[in-house]
Amino acid sequence: MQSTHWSIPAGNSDFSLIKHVTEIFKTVCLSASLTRFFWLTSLLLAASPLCAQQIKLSSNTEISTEGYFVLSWQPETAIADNGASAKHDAVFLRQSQSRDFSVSKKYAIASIEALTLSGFEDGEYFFQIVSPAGNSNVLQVRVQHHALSKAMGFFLTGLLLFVVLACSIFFGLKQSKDENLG
Amino acid sequence: MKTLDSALSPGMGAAILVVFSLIWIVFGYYLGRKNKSLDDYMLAGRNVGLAFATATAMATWVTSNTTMTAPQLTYQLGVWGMVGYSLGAVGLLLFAPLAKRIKALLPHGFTSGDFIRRRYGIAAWRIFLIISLFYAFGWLISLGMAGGILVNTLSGLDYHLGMSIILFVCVCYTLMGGLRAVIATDFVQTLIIIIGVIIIAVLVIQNVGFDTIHRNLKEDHPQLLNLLFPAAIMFLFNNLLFGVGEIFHSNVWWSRAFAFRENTGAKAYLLAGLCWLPIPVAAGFVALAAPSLNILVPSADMVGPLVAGKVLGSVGAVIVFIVVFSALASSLDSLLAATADLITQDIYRGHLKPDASNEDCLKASKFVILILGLGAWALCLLKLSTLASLLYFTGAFVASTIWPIVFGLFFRWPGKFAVSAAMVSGTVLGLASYFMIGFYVAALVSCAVSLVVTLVFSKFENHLFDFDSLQSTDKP
Repeated sequence: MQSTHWSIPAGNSDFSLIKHVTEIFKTVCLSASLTRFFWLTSLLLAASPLCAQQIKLSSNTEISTEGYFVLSWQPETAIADNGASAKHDAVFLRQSQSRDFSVSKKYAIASIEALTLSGFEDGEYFFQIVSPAGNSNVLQVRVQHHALSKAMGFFLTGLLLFVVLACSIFFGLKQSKDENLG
Repeated sequence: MKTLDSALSPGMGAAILVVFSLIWIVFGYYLGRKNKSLDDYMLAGRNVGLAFATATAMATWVTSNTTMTAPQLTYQLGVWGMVGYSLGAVGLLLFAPLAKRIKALLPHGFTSGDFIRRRYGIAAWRIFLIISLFYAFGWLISLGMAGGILVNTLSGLDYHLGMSIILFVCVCYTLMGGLRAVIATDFVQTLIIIIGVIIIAVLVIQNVGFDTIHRNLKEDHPQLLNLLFPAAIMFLFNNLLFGVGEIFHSNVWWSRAFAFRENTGAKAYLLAGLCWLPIPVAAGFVALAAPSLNILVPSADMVGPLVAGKVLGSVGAVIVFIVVFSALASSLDSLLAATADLITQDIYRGHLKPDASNEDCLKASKFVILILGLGAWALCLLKLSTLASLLYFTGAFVASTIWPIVFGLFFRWPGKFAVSAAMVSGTVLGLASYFMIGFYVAALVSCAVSLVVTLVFSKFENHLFDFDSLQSTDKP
């Protein structure tokens, strides 16, 4: 931040002091005027329908362990209104594996309010909404699938449970027939 | 919810809703005139033949979960999602021998709760009722939500309107016709579902083609084709055990076992399982075509109707609309009737009014159907979750009941305390895994914990049950 510095000239110290106080007074008054000006301008801009709203892009998760996730955006109207008035593809979501979107894929999202994407491999993925009203924040989603060893552990447990279940029914039936209850 | 580019006009959607609503209600009223006793109303006179028995078992298992969640899971978990969902048929196939055993052990039984109470006593019965009712409500809500999502996706009609109409229609005809109407409408609905799903799958393949679908998935969504997709591998047996838990514990299937004619249950469940097996594959497959068709999917549970509407246009959308409406109705009515039986027999007669006559129970059953419908409607209004996450949440509950049911039906050694502890601990740890790992392991963990606890604690209880005590006709 830039600091304000008032130099006091040498000699004629009384006069200089008065001049210095006057300078401070003027600066304070100017600051107050400027502040008021900015406040009023901000309020007017906020009330104006022409004001471009910042689109906030978000995801249901920052790290996806299944390769799918849901993207949504706020305010939805900023997208929908532009979609209705402008060309259908003027508003789109871009997806890339690099933050600068050098290679990207586009989705025309004007008619929807959220997007579910699936089938992603491990990696970092970046998303941004591009619209005539302004671009959204850049959203980063990391896909990190469960370890295969962990998945196989659950798979084998499930298989074992199924075998126990099938055997229980088979032997149970056999036993009940033997006891003439089946 | 803001509407997408709908395949049908709201007028067309409303017209289909009105026509099918009238058909089901009139059919239910016509069939309900034959009901004379509590057995007629609750169990269709305990005399349902093989054709109707097979159709009702299959139609009830083809639900919104099959026609809408199978595509959702395929879209999220790829090829294994589709195959894993079809493993739900194992539940029907394995219930075939159980149905025979149930009919033999409890010739005068009404509900699954009857068995648990007589076999394991009051404490286990109450735990079982909580699990069963929680599951029934979860399923009811997922069905109501599916109705609203379907109507909104295909016709642009409001979610709340579609959901309300479908719930209202099912409550009306179940109320008037009881299980007899449910089974008869299921028969018609089964035919519609099978024909409709086959038409949609064939038309999607013709319009898009395997090569295009495969190429697109390989480039942009490679995990969907990966046979070593970790979450999908974890999901495979989880779904199988979830399906087994749903069928083994739920009164929807027990009431049918009681209602089917002697020696019919086992054959009917076996046939229904075999006929059901390819349906999730056909319904789920269409989701793989979504990326090739540049369909943007707002919520994964909308992918099935979106693809059908896009590929097949208005005609396809009409077919999907009718198929899913039929699937929803066939499950909703069964669930309403069976849950009403459970509440009437096990809560009303079991806890509130033990000396209730059959006439009292008949009135109570109708009142309960109405309350269930209203309750489900109120909770559907909130639309708290996607279909799959809501449904698989209940997996932690139902999978804990598998061993108490199977061991309890065939063996004398399972103890009362052991099965109570198994159901509680299985549910708790299943829920923990749901939140800590994912929805695709909740049932598996619950089932594994329940097995260990049942085996270990029964060893300590050292009690042998007398199966002859199940044959009595005592009221709760």
